[in-house]
Amino acid sequence: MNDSSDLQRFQELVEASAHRELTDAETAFVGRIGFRSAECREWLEADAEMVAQAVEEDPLRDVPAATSLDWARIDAGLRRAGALPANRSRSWSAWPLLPAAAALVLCIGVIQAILNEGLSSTTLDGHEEVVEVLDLPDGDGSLILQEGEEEGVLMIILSNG
Amino acid sequence: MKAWVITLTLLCSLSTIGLAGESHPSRLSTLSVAVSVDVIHTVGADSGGIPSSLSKYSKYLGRAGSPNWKLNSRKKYSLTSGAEKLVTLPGKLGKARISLDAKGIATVKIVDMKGKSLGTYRSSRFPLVIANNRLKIGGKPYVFILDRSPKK
Repeated sequence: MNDSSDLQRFQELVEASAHRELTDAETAFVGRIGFRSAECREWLEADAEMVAQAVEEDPLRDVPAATSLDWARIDAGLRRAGALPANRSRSWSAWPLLPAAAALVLCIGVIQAILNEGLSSTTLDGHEEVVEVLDLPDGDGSLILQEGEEEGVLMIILSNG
Repeated sequence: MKAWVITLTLLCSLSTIGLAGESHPSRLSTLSVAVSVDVIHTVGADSGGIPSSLSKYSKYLGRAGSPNWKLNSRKKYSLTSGAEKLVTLPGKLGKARISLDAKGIATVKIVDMKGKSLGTYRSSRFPLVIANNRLKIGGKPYVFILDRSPKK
């Protein structure tokens, strides 16, 4: 094999090493030729400098940042490919709010019941029957007369004075 | 999504409270609107029986110490539950403190001119007719009547 074909073979193997693992024979060839051929070593040094310069220049620096639309496209693409759960599962993320909503509805129901029924079971139009005489002067007595079930009441207070 | 749920629940609560207030005005009225009552002062008379203005109460007055009665005065008051109304009794008998609780039970406390209690009376029935033989005007029995004003 002549020098030019060795250099070409050397270049191909170095380039290929970036994409695949070299075989033992290829690795031995690269080592042997790199040690023996000054031309190959010069190419390798020049290639290393070129790579270092490219890294230093950072060509990705000029790439604009992804927009929300870009991310949405990526998101949609990943979902279509099955890498992300389908959109439908998004609604499930709202379920943790349901207990709070249910509690709120329950509170509203309680408030409504209090507005309707009051805090006790008897309303103004209720049928609680109260007819009584309280704190009379000492020695006084009372007599209560009721007429019918829905009518009024006569309270007669009897005193010795 | 979260904002939607919060907005919907707020709308639901506002509409529920609004509907509750609209569909049950009677209950709300017990909290804020006054109840109209009549306070009637009657005094025993020598003759004449019971006048037509007091005929509604004749069966009570007939048992209250005299067969003959006359109307001393009648006045309409507006009672709010929890609030007390002070009514001056005729003939310098004293005063009556009238109140109405949330259940519609009336309380009447009668005190003499010196502030001494002559009794406290509670009733859910109307009219509430109180005859107290410590209360006399010109030697004639006095009767205090608390009644709901007739609906117009």
